[in-house]
Amino acid sequence: MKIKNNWFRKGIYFSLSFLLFIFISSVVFAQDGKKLFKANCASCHNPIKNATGPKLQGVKEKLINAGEGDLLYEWVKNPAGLYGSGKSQQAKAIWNYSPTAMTAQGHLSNEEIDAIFAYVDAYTAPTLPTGGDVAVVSSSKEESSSAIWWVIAGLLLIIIVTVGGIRRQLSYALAEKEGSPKDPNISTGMLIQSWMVRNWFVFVLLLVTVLITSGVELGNRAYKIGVFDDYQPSQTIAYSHKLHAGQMDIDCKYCHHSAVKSKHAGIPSLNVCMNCHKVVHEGTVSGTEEIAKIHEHVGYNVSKQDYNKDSDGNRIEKPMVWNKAHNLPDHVFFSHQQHVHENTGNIDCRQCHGPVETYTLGRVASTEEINAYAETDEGSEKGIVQLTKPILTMGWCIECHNKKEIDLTSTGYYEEIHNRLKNSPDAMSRILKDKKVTVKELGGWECAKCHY
Amino acid sequence: MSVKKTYWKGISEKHQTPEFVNASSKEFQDDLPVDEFIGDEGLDQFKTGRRDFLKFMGFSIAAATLASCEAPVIKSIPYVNKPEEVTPGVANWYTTSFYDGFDFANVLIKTREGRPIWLKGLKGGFTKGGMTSRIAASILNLYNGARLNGPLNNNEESSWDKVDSSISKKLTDISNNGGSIRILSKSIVSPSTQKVIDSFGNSFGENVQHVQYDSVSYFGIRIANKECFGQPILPSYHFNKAKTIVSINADFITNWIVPTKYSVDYGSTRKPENDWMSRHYQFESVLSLTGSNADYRGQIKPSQEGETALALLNELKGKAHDSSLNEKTLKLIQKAAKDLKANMGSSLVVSGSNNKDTQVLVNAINDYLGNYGHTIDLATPLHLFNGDDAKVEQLVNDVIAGKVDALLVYGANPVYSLPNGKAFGEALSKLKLSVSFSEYADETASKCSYVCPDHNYLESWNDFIPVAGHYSLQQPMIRPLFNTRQAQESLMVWSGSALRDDKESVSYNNLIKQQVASYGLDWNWSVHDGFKAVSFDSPIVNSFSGDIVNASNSVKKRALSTGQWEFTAYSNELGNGQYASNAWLQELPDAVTKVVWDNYITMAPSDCYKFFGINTDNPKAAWDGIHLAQEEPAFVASVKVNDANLKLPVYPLPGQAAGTIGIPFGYGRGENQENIGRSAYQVGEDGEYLLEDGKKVPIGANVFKLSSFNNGELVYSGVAELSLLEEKYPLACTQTHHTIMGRESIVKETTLDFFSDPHTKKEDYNPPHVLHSHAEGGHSEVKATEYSLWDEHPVEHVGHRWGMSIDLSSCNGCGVCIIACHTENNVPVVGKDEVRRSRDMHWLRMDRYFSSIEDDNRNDWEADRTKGDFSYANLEIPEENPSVLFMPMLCQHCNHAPCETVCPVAATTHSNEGLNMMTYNRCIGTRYCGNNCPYKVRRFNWFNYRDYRKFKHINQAQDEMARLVLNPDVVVRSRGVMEKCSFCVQGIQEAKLRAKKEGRPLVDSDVICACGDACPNDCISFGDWNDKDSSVRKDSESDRAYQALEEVGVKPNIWYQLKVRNIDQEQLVASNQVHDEHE
Repeated sequence: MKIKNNWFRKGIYFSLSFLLFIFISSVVFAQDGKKLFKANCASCHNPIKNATGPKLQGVKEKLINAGEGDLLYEWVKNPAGLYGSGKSQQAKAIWNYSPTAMTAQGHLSNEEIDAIFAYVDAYTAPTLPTGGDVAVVSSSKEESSSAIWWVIAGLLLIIIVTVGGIRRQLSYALAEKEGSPKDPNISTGMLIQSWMVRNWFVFVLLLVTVLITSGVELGNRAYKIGVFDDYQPSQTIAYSHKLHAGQMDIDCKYCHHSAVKSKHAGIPSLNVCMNCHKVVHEGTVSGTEEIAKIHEHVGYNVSKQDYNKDSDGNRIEKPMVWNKAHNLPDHVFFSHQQHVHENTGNIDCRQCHGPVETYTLGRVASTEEINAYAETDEGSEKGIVQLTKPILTMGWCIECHNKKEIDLTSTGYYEEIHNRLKNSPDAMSRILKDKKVTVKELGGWECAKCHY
Repeated sequence: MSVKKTYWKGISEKHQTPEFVNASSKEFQDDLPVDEFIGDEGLDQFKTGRRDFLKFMGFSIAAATLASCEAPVIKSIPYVNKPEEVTPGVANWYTTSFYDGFDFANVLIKTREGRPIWLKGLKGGFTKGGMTSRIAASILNLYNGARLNGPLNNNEESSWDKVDSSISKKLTDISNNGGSIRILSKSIVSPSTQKVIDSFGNSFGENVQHVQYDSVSYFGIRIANKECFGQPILPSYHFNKAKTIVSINADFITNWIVPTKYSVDYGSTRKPENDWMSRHYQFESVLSLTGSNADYRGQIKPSQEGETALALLNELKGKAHDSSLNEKTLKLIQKAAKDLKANMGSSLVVSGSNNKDTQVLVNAINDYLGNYGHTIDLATPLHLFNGDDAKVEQLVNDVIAGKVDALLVYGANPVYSLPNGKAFGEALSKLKLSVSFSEYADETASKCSYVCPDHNYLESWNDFIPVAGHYSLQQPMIRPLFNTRQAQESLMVWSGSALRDDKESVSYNNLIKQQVASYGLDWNWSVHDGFKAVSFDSPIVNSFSGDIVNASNSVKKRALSTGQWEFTAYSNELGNGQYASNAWLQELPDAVTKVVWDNYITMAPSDCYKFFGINTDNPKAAWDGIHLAQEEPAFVASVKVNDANLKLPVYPLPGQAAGTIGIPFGYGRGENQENIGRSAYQVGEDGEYLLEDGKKVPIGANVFKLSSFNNGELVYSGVAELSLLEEKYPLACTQTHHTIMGRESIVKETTLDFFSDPHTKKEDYNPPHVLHSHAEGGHSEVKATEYSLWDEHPVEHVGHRWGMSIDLSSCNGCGVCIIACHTENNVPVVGKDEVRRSRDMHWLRMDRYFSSIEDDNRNDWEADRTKGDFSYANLEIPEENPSVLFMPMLCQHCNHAPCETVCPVAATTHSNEGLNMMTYNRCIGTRYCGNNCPYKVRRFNWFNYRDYRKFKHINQAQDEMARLVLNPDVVVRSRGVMEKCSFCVQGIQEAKLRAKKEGRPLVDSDVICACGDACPNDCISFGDWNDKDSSVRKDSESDRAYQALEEVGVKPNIWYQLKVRNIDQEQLVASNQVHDEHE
């Protein structure tokens, strides 16, 4: 009985631990294969395509078929060692695949390696969603809605004219019936004139209304001349900020890196794109189509994993032409670094560019859009200020200069300015009357700050 | 010290001639041609009525409105593969060296996105940050569209492969047949280039000879030193150690040997606050820039150069002598000798003569004074100016006689610059092989059978040893713009030591790397620093053994060969003419004459009187008769020397020695329609080239034609025949623009003795302007600065207050600041015709004031003189030998700016930081501000210089290539706005941002204007006046500080440091006594 018990207990323990093992490994398999692959392998390998390293799907099977299945773990953990030991024919064959040696992944356990291969072997290429998110130069919603109004207004006008015509015909018919036919000498103009004289008050009211309305409309339109909010020019490449800055959460200043160093934020040079797209050849939205354009311009041959070079060893490159979205006049000097550097303006990009992570191609946001963003939690956390003037106009710039405050204790530079202010009670009291120091008060409204 | 000096900008101002008085009452030189327009009968012929006009206007408004609704699509092309060191929008600075056979300097180049756009001297190099205006303007030459794009064969386009194979073949053939191959080059100071030439010579046998040629030669010094010290060397001169400097016709500040270094050295001795200040004597014929800076200036004829040296030597040794020099000069020589003796071993005598005998005498003087080893260093000789005139003459004769088979010309333009250039050019085209490496199809290149264009210096690798022990490197700033190839590589390819490669070729670069390695230097650091000290062996020199007797006899003989007129050819801003097509240089007013876009004959005003045959009863009007040429065209004379004949306008230059004329080098380029650049030819009022017999007319005339070979020396002066021609010729001269309305407190000066006398106070030599107050019944004097119509501007205490201080004592008027400002601020070039209309656009101008002791009793005497009676000749004549003062004048950024109050649209306003801001896009062009400016520094932009046809050959913005030189940080102004100095606000903003980013207070070294940055002598200090430690604050409180036109009460933010002359107080008093005697 005891023995039985013992066996029984052992059996139970064994089966329990087996179950636990199965459970744990199944958890590892199910949950971590993808994650592990992304974390450790994806920078060089694609499951179904050759990249910096060869495609991984079917590799395990191939090894097993070659009778080297048990060497898989060693291969992953210490590829150079395995190659050096000469145990594996397969390793020898694959070693010359690329000049880049595989990084040893010694920290992975056998279970994790199994999990990765399970994921890789089960991997199927995702099917592409059609349309939808592909960057398209938008026709604005407002325009389409205002078009509807125009159509309705047109229809109403037709109805009015028709009804008026019918009414006139009826009154003619009535007049004819009553024996007073229409005087042929009276023209339409005269009719209108006499109507105007008779209903002079209505006419004047109408005239004034029309004049005022068109005046206001003209004013509004004139004010918007040179304001290009919602301008989203088409580009050679259907780049999506939504994908990169939104989903991938890449920092603006990773690509527009000169924003903190120069007056230009800059359109990123293609070598910046290649930091990722040397490996990422296929997008989730447009597949290889758009990314292939980068490779075409930068002269990268995906299948050879190398740059195309001419006989002198220089890369064959093709500059990419972009259409600029944000255009300031030539007589305006604007410096990005002045505004975004942490020791100076330290302003979030969205203050002027809006929630870029929701756009596809680069576009000019509208003031209203930025104001709406400022009201969100995220916007207020980032300190976005609400402004009233149209975007990229001088009024808009100086409105912000009047609102933004400067912390005179923030850096050594401002401390020095602060000290000098302290020596001038007049200036101090003038500037600190409202208990704050704005950009304007330190000269942010002066012409030569931006015009020279 | 009650001597009163008067200051005048020109002769007509000095004499208040009718023409001048008339002109000075007008604000703008030209009236608007209103009467002319309304009185035009042709107006009636127009069919356009009022209604039509309204229709056109309505249409235009509608069209403009519609057009403005549509935004243009702006393209942008980023780098495909951005170089790591480039950040778009941020400038990179690189060291390099400038050497063109005429000037040498270590420089720092500013590049933006890979384009060189500005440069300045590199402090600490051999040239210590020194510059000439030529070097400052050299950036524009890089973008000259006339540069050759690929090699030429018989003036037709060819390819490098074809040219290489045929030249190599011809060289081999000539060499195999024992023919002679000659290389004629500028002075080679590059060890690597020398190696290339040597190996070229080796591969083509002993028939190869290399001759070095300097268009403006210093061979006389070398052979004199050979005679005196046994070595044909050019010693190092140390002007910074010389307490007494005597220069005989040597313009060492701008044009003599290494002016880049000497101007800095000299400038360091001109600050009166230092322990000592040098005293400078100048003996010369033409009033040069150096002569203008001298404390004492004597006038000699070119033939008397040697005799002046002899007289000085005899005076020093106490020997009696007779000479042809006039009494005044002899007196001055006596005085100079006294000073020299007092400073034995710390004095320096130099001569600009290329005559061996003169230089032997100068050596004898320096030897007598014990200057060798102190101010003159024979142990570290210069490698510059190796030219051997005798060998050049031999080669030229050989070429003309057909004894040479192949000639390779590198870095020289002998057809232009040789005395017999024309004959040489004709012979050149008959040679079996003639090759030029010129960047342009210039005078020489167009006569050569092959032209293999060299890179510009900004595209090349090279190395130089300008002086023993100093190794400088030249690195490319930009990839070659054209299909050119470095000359050294061409030679290497032909001699088989390198294969032809493309623009990225490294074969010559490898040679330089070897050279660097041979010194044991690190390559990267050497390139980074731009120069390195290297060890060298000093030449072994004898003690002085010159034949003084022989030299004396020969200079006396020279002095006898004089005539009614003696000419001397001299260098001005244009140098030897390499940059004749550089519009910036052409538009830079000559430092002394202030003439732009022309050359001319300079003549003493008293000679002008006689020569022009002026005889009028009105003495004042008579002065108008000699014509400064701005209001009335100048007289034209023909100069004849042997067979050569030049036709040039005559410019009356105060200070010119009587009986002499001067003509600057460097003009008359492209006589035979060679394509050397758009701006090298005269342009008419319509912007088209002026044509004469269907040919473009060059600017000025080539004075090299008057030079000659004499006993193996190049001679640039001699006897000339002068005849007055019937015609007249207009000159453009910024001289008479912008009158100062009789306000004389604009310049101030004093003497060193008075300044350094412990008993004198600031009020004695730099008195403030006072106003007489009769308040409370009494009479008192109150400082003008204490009165003001306005409240203090708040800039005094808050934040920054930008200020500038300009030292008039060390400013020598060289004009580098003007070019630096032009380049930095995209100032348009306007051309001769517009300058004649007083529409020059220089934001910074260099005012040149002549001054003389005032003498009220002169009128009678003048009346006599104009009638031809010169019997009072020993009286001081103001324009005979005036003293000169240079004053950089730019926007003073007045705190109470008169321009700001009159602007109807608030386009010019004052900033919190003391800047007088000019907002172009707000300006409507009323010009009220220009009218109200007491300094006349505002410039009205009359045209769209960047696309109006009148400026197509002149303005850099109209050339697709030259446009690359524009500074992207400064807007290119359009027509109809006022513009002026902004204190380089782009630099101020950048400096503030740098300090802000680094989170530290702004310091003095952060910010400097382009003019101050480029100034070789650090005359301009700039900074934050509110910072108590800033140099500008200290300067503004110094004893020499004053503000121009203080009495006007505009409270400028620029302080001038008054000029201190190192002249004896007695001398001023003495002339004062003379002055008293007349009263």
